[in-house]
Amino acid sequence: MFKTNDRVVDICMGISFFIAFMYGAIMMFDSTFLIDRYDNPASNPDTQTISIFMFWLGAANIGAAFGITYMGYKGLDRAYFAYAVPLLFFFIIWNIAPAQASGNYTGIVLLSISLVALIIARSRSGFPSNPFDIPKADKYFGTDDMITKVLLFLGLIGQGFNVIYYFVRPDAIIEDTPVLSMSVEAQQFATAMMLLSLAWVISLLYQMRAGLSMTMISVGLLISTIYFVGMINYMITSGGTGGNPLIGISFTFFFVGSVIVFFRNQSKA
Amino acid sequence: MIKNNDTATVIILSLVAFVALTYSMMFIYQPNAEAFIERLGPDALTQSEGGYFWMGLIGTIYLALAIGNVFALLATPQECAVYYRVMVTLTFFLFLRALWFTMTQENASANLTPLIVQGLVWLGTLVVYTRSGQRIGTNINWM
Repeated sequence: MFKTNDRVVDICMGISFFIAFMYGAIMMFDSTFLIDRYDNPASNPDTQTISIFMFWLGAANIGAAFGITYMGYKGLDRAYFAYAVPLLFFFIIWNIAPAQASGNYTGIVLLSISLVALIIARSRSGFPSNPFDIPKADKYFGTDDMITKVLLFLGLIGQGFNVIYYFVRPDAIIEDTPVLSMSVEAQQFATAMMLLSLAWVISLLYQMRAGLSMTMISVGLLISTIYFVGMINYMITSGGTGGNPLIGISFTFFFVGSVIVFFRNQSKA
Repeated sequence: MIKNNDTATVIILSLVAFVALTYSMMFIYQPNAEAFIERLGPDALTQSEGGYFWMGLIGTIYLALAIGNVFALLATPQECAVYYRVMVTLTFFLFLRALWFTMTQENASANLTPLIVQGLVWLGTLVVYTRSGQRIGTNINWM
């Protein structure tokens, strides 16, 4: 697997896959499991708000697990590490506040194990040990296809906008979405959304220099499909009320853009 | 990456995977399942907690079918022969069941969407199977 014939790489990637898939499944299908275990007696957040945020984070975890599965067949990909390693690092830091408030440090331990496993796998993969030693492609995103290039640039701009907008209005995603209620926990999840965008910005910047990665395009397609389908279900359930038009437009563009980029480039993978 | 070179097959399998994923989330999450039942119209049976539990199970099967369709995209048509046959059989039975329930409903204002969607999915899988060139027999070769 992973086109390395290295059992240590297989085990490390397997550990990272298991942790990502486990958290993805729990967050998407039984968020109350985590809500109960991270209960903060000093706070009483709206569980529906936390469940919606957990669905988003769960989809990101499923995407990370899928990326490992993809690499199992196609071989290790530096772009995935450029996405997952910073993301795990961000989430370990992000987890400190809820862990201290609830006394539950399981998340920090498991994410740390996953991060260490990824770093070990990367160190044995034959990639340059310096993460900033990035080979430069002939063209931006290493492709002549203008539509792919424009869509990836738009993705980069969109994710960058998410990050900058968070620092301008940290509570915007909650305040502008009627179905979400403000609480300390909800604001922490709003920060997590920004960190997700930040990881995508890093990965897209890497791809802009080194060439596009089908691993990350496939991961993006899976995550955007889950978001889009979740949005459709929410619209049917709520009768079209309580949503945030900006998030709706973002998810739609994310999905449509991912589909176009995937099908225009899949034959090269 | 996609091993199937037939564009129509790729489009149909992708659409069916998308619809299956949508239905899976519709059935797995209880608020969505309640909205689904509500929109089926006045003839729809009232669901208990047990009913939503079983809807969740069906949603899980839909999720597996969505993933199965993606797997089918990533394999050659010859490798997918049995999967295509299973899908044709399954969607045919589901279409017949939807047809039977629609025909036997007393209220003429019944929601026809499940019947139409089920029929389209059956036709789609028939087209996929036929275009894969593996149909045995000629009884419905006109598809």
